[in-house]
Amino acid sequence: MYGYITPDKSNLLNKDFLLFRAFYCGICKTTAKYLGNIPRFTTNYDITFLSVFLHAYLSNIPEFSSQNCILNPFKKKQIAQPNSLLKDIVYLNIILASNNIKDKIIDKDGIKYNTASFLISKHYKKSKAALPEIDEIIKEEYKQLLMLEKENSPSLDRTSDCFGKMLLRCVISIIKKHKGNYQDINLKNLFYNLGKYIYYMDALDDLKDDYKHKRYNPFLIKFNNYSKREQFIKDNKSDIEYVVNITINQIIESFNRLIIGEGRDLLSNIIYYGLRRKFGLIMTTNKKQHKEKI
Amino acid sequence: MGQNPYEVLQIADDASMDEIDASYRRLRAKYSEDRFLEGEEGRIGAVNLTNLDNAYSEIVRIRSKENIQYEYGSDLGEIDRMIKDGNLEGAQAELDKMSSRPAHWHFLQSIIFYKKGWYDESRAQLKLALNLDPNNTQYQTALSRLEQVMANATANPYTMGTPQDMQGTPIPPDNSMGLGNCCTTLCLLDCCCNMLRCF
Repeated sequence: MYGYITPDKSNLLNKDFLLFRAFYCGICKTTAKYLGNIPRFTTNYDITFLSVFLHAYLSNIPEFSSQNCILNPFKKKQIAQPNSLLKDIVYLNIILASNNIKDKIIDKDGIKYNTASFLISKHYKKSKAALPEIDEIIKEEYKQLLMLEKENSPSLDRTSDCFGKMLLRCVISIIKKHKGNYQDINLKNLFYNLGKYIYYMDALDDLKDDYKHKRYNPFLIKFNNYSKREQFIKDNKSDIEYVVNITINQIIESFNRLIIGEGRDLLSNIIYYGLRRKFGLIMTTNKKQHKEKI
Repeated sequence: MGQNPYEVLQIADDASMDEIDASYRRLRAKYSEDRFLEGEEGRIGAVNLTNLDNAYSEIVRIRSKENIQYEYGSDLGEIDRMIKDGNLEGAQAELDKMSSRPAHWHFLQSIIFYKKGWYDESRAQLKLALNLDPNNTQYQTALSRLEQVMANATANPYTMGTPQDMQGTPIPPDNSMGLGNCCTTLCLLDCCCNMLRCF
């Protein structure tokens, strides 16, 4: 995934920051344990959010233990210990990353992506074998998305629908496997809209590059008046804000209707403040947002 | 019974609504007096009066249904019911079949998109409906709710979609919408949908 689902640090309590970090490191360490050191670079904030959410939703509290890390060998941190759910999330992450990279190769053919794809090809095979259903889902939805891109679809809903469904179906598949309630309507609405949100953020973040390299971008096709990024955003501000804000509000509402105990504070920081903050940054600055560190 | 309601009202099948009303009033006055006559005549008068009332309401019912079909090209009430039952695919298929696309067609399409979570398309259809029928308050309300309530970027995230959002202190309906309560809007869209049945 991309890194658009992040906590809002100015509203974040220290205990929640530590929890988020424990999960972030937990993903990284679990990746190392089951797949080796190389694919650890795929760890990101979005999958960390998903991991916190799924543990909370399934009332599956991982064990935490104090450990150090290669990147910071002298400081011990609380880190979530591997469990079967975390393992599946790591596999899911690798499958998502690999397919995302493949999608990028199709339209960017950069050496960076080819290398990345090569680096994790072995781990991708292993993850695919562990979660074949998820690989199917992701391939299916990417295929649909590619088709819409080829016909230059001007519909924001039609394209983002693929991404919404992809995330939703992956999450449902994992919850089903871990015997949780996967039929909750609010759960479905939350992840469908979260997938759409990620798609919109990515498209808005890439406006400039996509225009320069004449790549497909639903916003460019829909409004068709690009000259400079700032101007484009200014001209279409109300339309862009409408579609993203309504998506964010849907996520918030669905989240409020879900029963989640442990971890709710951290999750609500991300959902209440993090999403709106990220969108605000994307609309007001030209800096790429998915690389931002918290 | 099974009588032709137009025969009961002593008018032609294609009589205008005014003619129907006039004939109804005339016959009703007559039968109302007849039923106080003695013996068999009084009994027939009472029966006639009942038949007349039934026939009149039957004609009104048929006429209003025809009106919808005339105006919208098909029975949109059926599509409304399908949307209500959650059969979005069925409703979409019915909408696709229709050749004429009046304002209300776009309104129903907007509701289907809304229920699917396609908010951008939903708004676009609502705007099309408003273009065709600019003074329709139903569409105007739905559009302003969609833009100002559902997409409100400053709505309080802690209460959105929760029961507190719908209770609270009684405030005028327009202000309570400002709480960012999408549920209310959904209800509203549903109500609009229901109103079709009343035609």
